[in-house]
Amino acid sequence: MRTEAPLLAPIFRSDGQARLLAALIVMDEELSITDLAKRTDLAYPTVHREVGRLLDAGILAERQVGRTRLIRAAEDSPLVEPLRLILTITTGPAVHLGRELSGIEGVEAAFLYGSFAARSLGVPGPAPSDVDVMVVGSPDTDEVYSACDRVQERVGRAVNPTILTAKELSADSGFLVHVKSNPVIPVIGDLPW
Amino acid sequence: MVTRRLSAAQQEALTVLVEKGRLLRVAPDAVRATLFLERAADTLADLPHLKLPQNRYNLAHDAAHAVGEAMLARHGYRTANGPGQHAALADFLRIVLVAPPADEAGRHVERMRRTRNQLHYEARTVGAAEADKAVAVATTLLGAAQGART
Repeated sequence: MRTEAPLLAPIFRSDGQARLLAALIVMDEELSITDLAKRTDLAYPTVHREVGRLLDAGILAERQVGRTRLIRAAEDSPLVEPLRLILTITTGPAVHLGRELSGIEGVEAAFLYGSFAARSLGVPGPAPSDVDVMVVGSPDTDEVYSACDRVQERVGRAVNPTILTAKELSADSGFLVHVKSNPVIPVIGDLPW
Repeated sequence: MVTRRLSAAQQEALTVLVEKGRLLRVAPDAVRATLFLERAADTLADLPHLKLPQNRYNLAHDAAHAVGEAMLARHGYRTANGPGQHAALADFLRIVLVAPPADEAGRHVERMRRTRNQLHYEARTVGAAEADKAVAVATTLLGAAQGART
């Protein structure tokens, strides 16, 4: 089933197509259609159909390994690099923060919240100017700030971390109740509530 | 209080801010600088009385801002009136603070500015770790400004 156009980048025909392209172009991976369906949380027939279109357009390339078709970005396509730039800005924060924060000792979980998370999940509203990420645990704050600075440099948006221990996150403040009751995107680990 | 001379590169970077209308050149004002350093020291001295991390963060931000105002006055600048004054002050500190450990602290002021804005305008919260970091940054900035190690 076709998903709606993504609010953060309605230039893509569907959110599913954007997720699929992000998995292959931002993550720079080579995946089977089955793995791509799992990675993007899309139905197999949807992925099969979208991949077919993108192969025809020369944006994706494939190779056969045994009985498995492996799909990757067609790096020789002139469209791939501009797409990578757009996808990095629109879908890249979660991907890059996941990579950066997972290497920091003491990070127990992380998730995006706020307007960027809301728009990413299809909740309408003004375009976000920055990315809010909650980092749960007891990491070195300087390491978290540096990681966010690096991601900020790549995705072209300010990345604002909120660093809380699990105990602080469980506090009954109005702000945290608001965060927990609004759209969030897991970046590392399960949501801690 | 001794003011370290700015390098040619630093002066050039500040000239860019002046040309963009974000900073104004004024006469250096040692009295104003001293008053703001005293304000920063008083603000930091009051921190042990606070319990909530967001209050400690806000006060640390205020102390860092006061150090920034002192540095501006010392070097003969002030921020232009209008939106973006705090961002201009953060840029100024990033340019003039080049010696460790104040350089890292100077770079952190921009993040403190954004966090403080979120605290004020989005009711965001901060944890104790971030508040501790902000206090450490403000303390480092004050020490550097008092010792003229900038």
